[in-house]
Amino acid sequence: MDKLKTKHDKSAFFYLLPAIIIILFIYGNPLIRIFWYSLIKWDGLLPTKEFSGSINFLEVLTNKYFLQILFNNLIIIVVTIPIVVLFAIFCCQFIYLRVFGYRIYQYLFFLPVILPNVVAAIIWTFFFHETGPINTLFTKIGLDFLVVNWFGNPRFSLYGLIITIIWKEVGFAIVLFLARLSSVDPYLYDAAKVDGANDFQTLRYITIPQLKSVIQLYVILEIIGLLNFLFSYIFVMTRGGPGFSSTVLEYFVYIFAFTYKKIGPANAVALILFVITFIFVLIYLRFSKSSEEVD
Amino acid sequence: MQKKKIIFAAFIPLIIVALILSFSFTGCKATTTETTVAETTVAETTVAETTVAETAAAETTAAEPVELIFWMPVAQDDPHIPLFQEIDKHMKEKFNISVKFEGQSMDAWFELLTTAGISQAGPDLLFNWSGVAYGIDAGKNHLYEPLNDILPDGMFDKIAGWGGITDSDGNIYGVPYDIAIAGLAYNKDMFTKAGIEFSDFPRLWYWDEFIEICQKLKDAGYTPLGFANKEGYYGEWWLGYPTASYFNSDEEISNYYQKESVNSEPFLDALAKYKYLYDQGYFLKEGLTLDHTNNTQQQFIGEKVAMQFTEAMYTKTYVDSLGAEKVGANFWVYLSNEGENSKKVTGIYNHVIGITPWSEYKEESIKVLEELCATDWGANVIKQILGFTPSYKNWKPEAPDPNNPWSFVEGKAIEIIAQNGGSGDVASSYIQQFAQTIYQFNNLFLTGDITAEEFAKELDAARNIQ
Repeated sequence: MDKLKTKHDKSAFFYLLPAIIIILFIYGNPLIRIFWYSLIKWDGLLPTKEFSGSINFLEVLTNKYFLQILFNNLIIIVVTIPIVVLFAIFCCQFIYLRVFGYRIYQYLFFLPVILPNVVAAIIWTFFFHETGPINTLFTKIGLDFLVVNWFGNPRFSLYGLIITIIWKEVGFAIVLFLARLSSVDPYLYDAAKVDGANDFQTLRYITIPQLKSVIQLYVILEIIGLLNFLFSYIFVMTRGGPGFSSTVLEYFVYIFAFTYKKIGPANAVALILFVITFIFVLIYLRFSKSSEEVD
Repeated sequence: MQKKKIIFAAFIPLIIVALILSFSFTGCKATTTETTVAETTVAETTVAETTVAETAAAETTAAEPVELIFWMPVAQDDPHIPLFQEIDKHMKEKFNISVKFEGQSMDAWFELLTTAGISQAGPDLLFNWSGVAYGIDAGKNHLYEPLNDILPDGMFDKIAGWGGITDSDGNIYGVPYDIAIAGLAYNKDMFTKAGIEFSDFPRLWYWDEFIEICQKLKDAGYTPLGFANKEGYYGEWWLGYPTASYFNSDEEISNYYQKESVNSEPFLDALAKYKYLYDQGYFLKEGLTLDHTNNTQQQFIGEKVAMQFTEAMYTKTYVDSLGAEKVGANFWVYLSNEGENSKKVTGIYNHVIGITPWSEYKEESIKVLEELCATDWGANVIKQILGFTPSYKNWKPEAPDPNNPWSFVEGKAIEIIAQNGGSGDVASSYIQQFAQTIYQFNNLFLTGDITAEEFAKELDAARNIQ
């Protein structure tokens, strides 16, 4: 029986071989190229055949803004994700418990998700403008000290960006969490009510534990997203500035490649970003595996 | 066992096909090149025949024309489209060369150029701007073929100047086909109400007089200067055009910006004056984060500001919108009156055409450059269709166009430059990373987040100057 199984496995491999070759070519080729390109010397835009070793990586790692840029990535992740998750759980609980107008909230929160990132960025660029609605509102209600030049000031530009991302991302988190909650036995909530649990206790002892696995997955996916899909926001809203105050690794690849025309270091940054992301992908895979096991 | 062998044998060709397919994708450039080489041979023969038997027009017309491809970023209804239709017609008739115009998206232009440069594939002829270092930088990055040895000898004397596209090592990467004079458009009504005399404009003006004018405008309740500096272009303008006045020759400018530390006078003085304009509130306050494309012209047309950047095309837009009676223009202010350059008008080579290093039709491409940039025919179509002032030295300005007075100023100014034999383009002396650093940091400098010395050090670092 075992012999037969092995025999079948081998022939399956041959059947799959063409597909494997094509898949390896499509997915493996760019990765290998990025790795190779990060190790060779470039003369302007032209790659030479000369092996440069770690020169491109050294140029990136010794760049005086590299740490700041890495730190910007970290700030975005550390600030955005907890806010999105907490806000989404909070909203989720109330939508699930069908508070008055819950359907309107559901649509309202989900609306930004269907907007293209560029459109979201344009809308918030307008909101955050020095004479835009947010600053005007602060002025009108006498909170002049809160009026700041969001994207003209290096201390605030990253936070303007973060607010936009939160607004855009929270809807998806709510939908995801609601989907998980819909499979929770409603008797749990009824039982909690009978036991005299208030809203906070229901949230703390029922909703959050029930959402634990989906929150873990969402956090990892969101980290991967925040590392790799911010380009459109930054390009539209701040161009990475003022200075490098709102530049992240992803945008740094663009700056190296398309403004400095230094393709070698651009590939090196891309590879560093890939490695960081890959670590989170591995964590994600581990979480999804353990979730499957739990199920 | 036999069955297994058959399956294996059947899959070997499949694997080979997959591998061939893979290599075909990676090697598609080589295949194309081979085809192009073959085409070139045919084309070269055709051109040679054409040259030998120039009079045999019928024969030449019968042969398939060599097709050159030209890329440039275009807006909708860009006048370059009819210009290149005219060029195509002219070149076909005269040399049996077809010039195919391929307009590209402005937004993706630099990305397109970069990918063309990396793959060394794309058009034969390429547009670029000279005035902001793009041309020089692109040339250094192998996007343009150095033309020094391949341009016909006489052509060097026919162009008003080559500074805008020549690097500090003397490599010429393209031919400028027009020339502009950077200026400041002013609102005549606002000037009159602020009590500013402008009857003798356009003329050279200097820092002290300019500041006095700005203050008068501010006192009269106007915002003196337009500002939309999200991308940082205003920094480049204010640190580029007026600083030419500190120097005695174009070589001095070129050396200073390409080879010397700018953590020194005159650049620090220029920075101080730029910041002074900001600190005094002469720039439009909210302009720090406004984008250039949607705001620069609109600020002036909407009469939000009294003065704004201009050159011929901008002036035409301003006049079309506000009327000639309301719009005036003067040369861009000089920060110093000490250098020899401060005594002459500084031209900007706006647009250039270069040849790509990978083009198989260099000889034919040179002919296009020569016809467009160094003949009466070329100068006239540039003037008539684009409304630009040609860089062709022998071109004579026509009667003033009441709808575009600045075009006439440029027409006269080109003669001034030609007489002086200078090229006078400070901005073009920047290398791209220098310009990019200006874009990136000048807002930070204006808001006081970095000092002039720190800014200058950033600029030095961008050029690897200690």
